[in-house]
Amino acid sequence: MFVARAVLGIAGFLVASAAQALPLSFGFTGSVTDDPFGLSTFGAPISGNFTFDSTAIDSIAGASTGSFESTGPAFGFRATVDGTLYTVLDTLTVNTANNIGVDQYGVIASDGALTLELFFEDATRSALSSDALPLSPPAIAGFAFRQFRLFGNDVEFLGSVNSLVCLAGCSASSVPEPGSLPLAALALAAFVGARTRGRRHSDASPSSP
Amino acid sequence: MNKAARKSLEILFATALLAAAPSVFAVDGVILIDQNKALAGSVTPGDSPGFPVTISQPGGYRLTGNLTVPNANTNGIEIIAQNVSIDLNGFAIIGPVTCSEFPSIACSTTGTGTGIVGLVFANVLVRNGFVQGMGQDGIFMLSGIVESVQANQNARIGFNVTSGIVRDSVARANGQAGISVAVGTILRNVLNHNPVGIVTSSTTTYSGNAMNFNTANIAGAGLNTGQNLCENAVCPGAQY
Repeated sequence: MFVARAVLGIAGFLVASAAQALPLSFGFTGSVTDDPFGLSTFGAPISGNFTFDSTAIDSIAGASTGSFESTGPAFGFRATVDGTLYTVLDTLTVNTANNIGVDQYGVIASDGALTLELFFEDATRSALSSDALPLSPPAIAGFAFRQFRLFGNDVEFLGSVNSLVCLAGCSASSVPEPGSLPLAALALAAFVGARTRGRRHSDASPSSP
Repeated sequence: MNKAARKSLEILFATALLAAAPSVFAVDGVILIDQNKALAGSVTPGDSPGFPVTISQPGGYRLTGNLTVPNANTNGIEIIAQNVSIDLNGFAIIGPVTCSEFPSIACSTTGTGTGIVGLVFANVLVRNGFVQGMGQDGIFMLSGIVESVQANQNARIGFNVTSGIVRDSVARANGQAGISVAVGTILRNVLNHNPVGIVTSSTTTYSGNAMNFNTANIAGAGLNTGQNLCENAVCPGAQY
């Protein structure tokens, strides 16, 4: 009975740990390449950051594309274009595509009035190794096409991105895959069970003189 | 108001808020679509993350980047609403298929994926861009207009329209045919290196098309209303 309770408790802890949102923040810099509304100038600086949930679940079943939505006040996208701050909070989605003719890494946050995006593409299909959520910034040198996009009411910018770095949270250990949790619980059960059986066997053995 | 009633009202309010939440940004009423939005989903209500992008509401839609589908069996955009116009805006819907032109048309694979699928019999317009490498058709629609679109290297038909118009477009190196229109008009298109340039029926007219290097330029009983070019010569059977 004690063993079952212990295993259940440990498994519950693991599940709860995985379910807890773990914010990760990446920052980027770039420059304006297109400004249809004439609000800035070509080459003007862009900087920004976005925060996402490292435990977000892939909502696309296929093995080649991933979409990881983060919702809540801890998450969002901020971009400063030529000194003006644009912000979308409470929602953010990171997208991945691996080996669909190209590799892609995308970030999008939209609140209906404003959309902020990053979109990277690698035609050599070597930038990503899977469609899993990257928990550290992908090496942008691997993406020949790196674009910042901003769409809003009477404002639109496209830009190139020249850096992507981790700002916070990247030292956290990677989150276990949901499928590994039952395995961990089983392993713990087997370990505790073996120890218990061994102790009983030891107690039942006659003591040596 | 008792607690249960208040709770019900709260749930109702929250549901209404969710239903009203704008999923993608629209400029002047036009919904913008790119790969990020396609993968994130919710372009329109009922649109799941990933492909296809489902368009369930009337209105104007515009691409702001290429869309790349993951395999030859996946559609790019599915239209299930009436009164929809899609401006490809110079961008492409891209699939994995390639088709060689020499010595004859041969595609790397086939599948069930189509670039744009119009599943309603009313008022769909697609214009101004590219559809290439799809496992089946570049564009398939039950009813509508295709204009100023290039369909290259799709494993079956570049533009496959049951009822409507295909005009001012280009179809090259598609696996079975460049354009097929069952009821409607095929107007001022360029068709090269397809097994069949245009597939017509007795309820189709065609004029002003330039067809070269196709295995056969014209199939079916459509009405040639003139000014069609077949391999550097006037196509036979023109009627005015």
